Amino acid sequence: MNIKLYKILITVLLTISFTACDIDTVDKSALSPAQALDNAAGVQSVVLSAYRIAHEFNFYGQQVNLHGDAFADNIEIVNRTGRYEQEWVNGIGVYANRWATAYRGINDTNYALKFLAELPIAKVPSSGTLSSQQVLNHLRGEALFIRSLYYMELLRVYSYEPGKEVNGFNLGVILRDTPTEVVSDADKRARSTNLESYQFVEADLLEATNLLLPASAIGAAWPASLGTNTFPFRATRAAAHALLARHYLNWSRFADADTQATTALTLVPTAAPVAAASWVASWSTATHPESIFELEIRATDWSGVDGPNNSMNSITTNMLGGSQYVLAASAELIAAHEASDVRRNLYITTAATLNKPQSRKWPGEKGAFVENIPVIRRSEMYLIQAESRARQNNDAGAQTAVNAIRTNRGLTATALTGTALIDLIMNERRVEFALEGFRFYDFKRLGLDIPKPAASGVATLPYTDFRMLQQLPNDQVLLNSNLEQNPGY
Amino acid sequence: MKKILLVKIFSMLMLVTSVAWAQDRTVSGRVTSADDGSGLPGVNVLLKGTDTGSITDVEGNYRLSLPTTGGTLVFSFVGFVTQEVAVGSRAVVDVQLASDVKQLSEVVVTGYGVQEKRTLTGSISSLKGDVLQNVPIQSVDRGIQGRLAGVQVSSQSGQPGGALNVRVRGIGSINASNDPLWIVDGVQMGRFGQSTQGSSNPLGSINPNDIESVEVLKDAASSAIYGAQAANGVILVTTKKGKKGKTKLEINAQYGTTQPFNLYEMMNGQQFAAIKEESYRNAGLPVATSYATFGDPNESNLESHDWVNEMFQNGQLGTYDLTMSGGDEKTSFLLSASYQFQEGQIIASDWKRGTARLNITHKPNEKLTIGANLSLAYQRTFGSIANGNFVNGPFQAAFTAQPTSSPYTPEGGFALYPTRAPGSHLFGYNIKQGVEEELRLGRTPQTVSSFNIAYEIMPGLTLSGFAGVDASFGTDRNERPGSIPVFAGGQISATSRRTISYNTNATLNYTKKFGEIHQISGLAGFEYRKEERGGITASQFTYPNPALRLLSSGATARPAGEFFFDNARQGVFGQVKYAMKDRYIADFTLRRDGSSRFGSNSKYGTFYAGSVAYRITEESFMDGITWLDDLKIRAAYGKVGNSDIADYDWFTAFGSPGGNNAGYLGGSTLRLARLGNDLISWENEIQTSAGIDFALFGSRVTGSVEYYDNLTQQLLFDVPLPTDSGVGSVRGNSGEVRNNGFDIELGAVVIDRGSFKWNVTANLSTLKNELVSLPNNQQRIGNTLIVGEPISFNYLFQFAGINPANGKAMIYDTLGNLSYSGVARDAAVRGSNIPTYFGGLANNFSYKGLNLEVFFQYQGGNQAFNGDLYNLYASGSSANNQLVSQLERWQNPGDITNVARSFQGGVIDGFAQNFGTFGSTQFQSDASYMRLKQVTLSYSLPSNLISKMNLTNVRVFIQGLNLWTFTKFDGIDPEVVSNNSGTGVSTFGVYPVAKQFMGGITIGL
Repeated sequence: MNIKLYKILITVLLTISFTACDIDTVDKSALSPAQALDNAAGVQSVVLSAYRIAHEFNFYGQQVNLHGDAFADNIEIVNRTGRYEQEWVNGIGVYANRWATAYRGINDTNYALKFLAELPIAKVPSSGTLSSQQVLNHLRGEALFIRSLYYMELLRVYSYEPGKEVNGFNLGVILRDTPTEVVSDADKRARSTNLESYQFVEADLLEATNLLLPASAIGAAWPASLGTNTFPFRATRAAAHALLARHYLNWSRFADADTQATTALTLVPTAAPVAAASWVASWSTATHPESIFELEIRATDWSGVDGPNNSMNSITTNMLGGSQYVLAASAELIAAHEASDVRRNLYITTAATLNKPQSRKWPGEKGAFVENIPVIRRSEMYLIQAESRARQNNDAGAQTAVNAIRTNRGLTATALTGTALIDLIMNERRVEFALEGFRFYDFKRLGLDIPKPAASGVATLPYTDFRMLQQLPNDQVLLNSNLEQNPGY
Repeated sequence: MKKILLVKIFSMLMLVTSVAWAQDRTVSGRVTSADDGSGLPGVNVLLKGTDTGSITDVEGNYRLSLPTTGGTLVFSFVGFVTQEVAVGSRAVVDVQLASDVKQLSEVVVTGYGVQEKRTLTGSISSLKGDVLQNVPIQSVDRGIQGRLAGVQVSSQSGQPGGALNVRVRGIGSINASNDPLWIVDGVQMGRFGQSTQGSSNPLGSINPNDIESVEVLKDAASSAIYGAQAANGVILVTTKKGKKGKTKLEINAQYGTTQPFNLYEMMNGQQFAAIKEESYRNAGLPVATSYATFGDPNESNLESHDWVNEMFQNGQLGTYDLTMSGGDEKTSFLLSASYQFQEGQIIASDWKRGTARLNITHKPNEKLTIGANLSLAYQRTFGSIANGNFVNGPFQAAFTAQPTSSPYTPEGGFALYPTRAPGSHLFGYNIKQGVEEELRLGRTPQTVSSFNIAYEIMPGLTLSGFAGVDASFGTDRNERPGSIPVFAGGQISATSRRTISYNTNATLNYTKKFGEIHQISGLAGFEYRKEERGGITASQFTYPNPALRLLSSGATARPAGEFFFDNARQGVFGQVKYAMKDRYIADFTLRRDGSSRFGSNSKYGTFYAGSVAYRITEESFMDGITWLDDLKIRAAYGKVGNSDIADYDWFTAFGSPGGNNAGYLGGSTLRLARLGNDLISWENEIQTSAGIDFALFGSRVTGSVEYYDNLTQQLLFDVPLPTDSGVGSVRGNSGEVRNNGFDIELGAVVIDRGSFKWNVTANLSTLKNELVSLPNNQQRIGNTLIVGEPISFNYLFQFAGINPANGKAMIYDTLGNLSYSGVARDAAVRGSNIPTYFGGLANNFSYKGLNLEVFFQYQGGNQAFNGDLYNLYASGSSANNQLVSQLERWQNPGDITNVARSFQGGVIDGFAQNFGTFGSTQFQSDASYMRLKQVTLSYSLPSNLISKMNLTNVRVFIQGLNLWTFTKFDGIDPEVVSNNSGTGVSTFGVYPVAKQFMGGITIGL
């Protein structure tokens, strides 16, 4: 070989090393917000993300449904896995992760609201029956509805209801209505008052009731290019009224609660509660027939171990292999059923259930632990009507409403009045919504002490106990000097 | 090689000229190495006071004509002590040359070149490959453990072929990687691409037996030439090359066993049932329930099953190597192949590897050198679930599984677990069945290969080009058959990934000596590096039969996933070194680097180092001090960088969350993937060091002492944001971490008498790690980072023992009062996971062909929080089997013990006995340890015996690894304690390292 060849070789090699000098790379998995959200489908995907977060396991996927019962007197621990044991005895600082989860969802809705406001109407599809403006309004209403859902879950855990403060502690939560787009948006905010927070949610929901389409106007009418939008899996006008009814009830604004519940019931495709004969079966129906708003879950939404590790079915039953069966009904909950109540049939006590009353409200009917999570049911509207009317001394109206439930649960119509009627309605709520997370908050919103089951060995928790409010995440209090911790922590 | 060539030419001339002289007789002989008796080729043999001389041939033989008067022969060879021998009347003069322990002319590999050790100004720890030879390790990082000062190596897992953590001079980064840059024959190794089915090692494709030397560049002076990638240290691995001479063949084979040791001692069936009965009774629960669930302790023939024994095993391991090397004037080569396998100490866990290597160098003429280092490896890892509180991981469940439940049905199949109340414990997972039936397979073919070319433009000036690649193409399979109840129907997932990292560079080297006083050398170059990794994951559930194992047989579709990441860097660099009279030495390095990981305004950074050395022993006034052979003081200062963060952190991104979060109601979801910060740039580390190198008493004692102080600034920090913003953190450049301490290396020939020799090498490093500042002048971030503390610590309550009155566990609150529970303010920093000292001690004894190597490795000053105790040290309050130590539980008022009252649920009157979120110091213990890491006894057969068989070397050996450990740690293995950093738990269900015993043979021909 002659020397020139080597010179060529080395030249080639040097050239390669010098020319390979492009150091710009592209992330193929992501877009800038402006690129991602310049069209209706993109913004809708952000709204869908907010729905998806809502059924994470530390939200409606599990903990929201079970904490409210574990904190009070509806459950007993079966398998000692460590889970819900602290909650059962109202331990300190057991429930902090709801904070970050809710605000992730809230930030999604804030992104959606901002980019919907900037979206040219020409970029919003229409359908034969829906105009672009209606579609845009509906998406906006959905974002407001979900934002309210998150704020309400935060408020009931971390704040006293307005008018029910202990020692005048009236802080609500941090209110954010714009997205975090740059670092300076993530400023260190203080908590608004509980009243401001409640008013914020009220305004959102009132606006949502005006923007959202009724259940009958979505479904097939929804623009095909935006995919599926079927009742009750996404927000509708009925759902917004129903959520507002719940919000007013929490706020003890009973007249408003009654009005909203009544409106909600006029807007749903079917108004009547499920009949007694089909009530137990309704819980093994993929879509609960009473749902006004229900979170849809598919097998693909979970990893291979999410079912046994975290599903409602695994935590509350041992129907499937690998279940945890942490919780069963407390003796007190079973005793709260009247003799002919069909809801009592939901509990099975055998050797296989380790001789504890096992609830079949969460039977994993979609297969492999999977099932949807009803968030608002029609029966709640009837019981809101009943309680609101009773607390306004409209016993007749209250009886009508509560009897709509009782007669569909194998019970006789009640003729009770006054306090006895109120007590009956509260017991109806307890029995009807067991393992749906209402029990603790039905005492808290009224400023009442929390009864505890005998098996827990824990005394009644006085309303004035600091544990009535949960601890804010400690790291957030350390990070944000403007964030005031709840008293006692 | 060139030198030998010149000498040969010279000796031929000598032969020619000597013929002309009147010569009277001939002397001949063989020159051998005193170390191993092998013949030394190329030794210069000179008749003292004359020009008469010769050179030994490849066997070490020489022949020389002498005057009748005889005289004195001088034998000299690089690396050996020159020897003078009076010939007298002898016709045969055989000589053994002793190696020169001074090693002053030793050459070490440095960034883009080599340097003589004596003129080094920076801090480089060097390990010769012979330490790694035939040791049953799978990767080079395990081989350097305890061998080098300033380099802390700890196992991430005892999985055969598993990963290790290597930390050079402390831990400087909090959120960026702390891994050093590994460079194998110039190829910058990628950090990714390993199987996820079991711990596996990025260096696993390199056969340690192929390694010639390992050099660790520890300070800025030595590493700044790698600029932006050097902050965590740079480790250069050089593989063996062929040498000129007869083609040599070496065969190694060894075989042995691997054994678990120091496992937890668990309760038997009767003990377990009894403590369960007591916990139920104490909690006011019906004992009948306990009997039904856990067994009745009063039953005389209550079953008892030893799950630990079911799950652990003695494994086998073997290594087979073949190396062939040789060369001539122009071409040299080394060809090697190996096969290695090792079974784990846990059932269904093993690792296999085959490697092949060809290193070849060709010199067509004096000016040009071209070479290639080609390697291929195939690794197959059968992994275990470890390092976490996983109920389907054997290192959790083997200990927690109830002894009153059998793994098997009476028919011999796998039983539902636990047999008395299926599903009531460990999610109903029968760990024996799970581990036996689940397939966790990672298969990775990998090549680390490079090509180089060098051209000497003029004497002293060389232009070089280099291109190298580290590429792997792995597949993982995870098969969970439907026969395991919790995976009803069966679940199979597969991942296919490709990981490619390549780098190219061009360098210009210059060396020039001006007279005898000034020497200048320099280096300039350009480098480009690109890393790209991508892959596809897919899974399907529900199979008609566990034997049908292709994804396409599954009935239930699962979300598929694809990932892709890439990054690129480029840099220009230069170095200038000046030495005056070999006495005053100064070195300056500069590098400018750019990275795709940063925004357009902050892509580039400049890094530098300056260093000086003063070799005092070269001064004339030192001539009288004969016991001092060498004394050098040196100091260095520089700035190096780190950019090992995620690839695209600088821009704000909206994307699909993917996988299980990819949709709602059949529609796709989109959310903020990260908040970007286009101002982020390099993390900088300011490194300052000063040291002394010395050699005493005829270089029988050598060593160095060095102080270093590394200040990492502008940390690539995940600056926490209030989570109510919907975003947890943003990447920023903020905060500072300091690491400082001493590196001490010492070597001594303790005894060198006759054929007996005792060598000691020892090293000790100290480390103080401190968080200096946090973003926005915060003093702390939650309970995980506190200014003034190390960057990793255990934040715990102070355990106060068990109340003798009622058996409840207590802590001290902030005021020092006894309390049954605590809140955040009662917890504090109680210890750090970061060792404050570490090192090793090697003794080598040799007598004729016998050699005994005894090596200890140690580290200490760290506290480990043993998460296993949450499960196992719980007074029988849960369904988990318990340590036998729990028999010491509190039972009656007045009992003094550290084990709380047995109480079903572990929550007495609302007080969790393990203190919930924070935990207490009860589960923390001193994880300092000293381990007898390696003992090797070998015997090399005498050369006169084996030469008859035409062999050059036969060595038989036996060796053991991890033979003995001294520690106070209360877990299984103090070497594997820092896997779960960030979770506050040092160790949870970890895969401990195993004891190994091997026997083997090396044959050379």
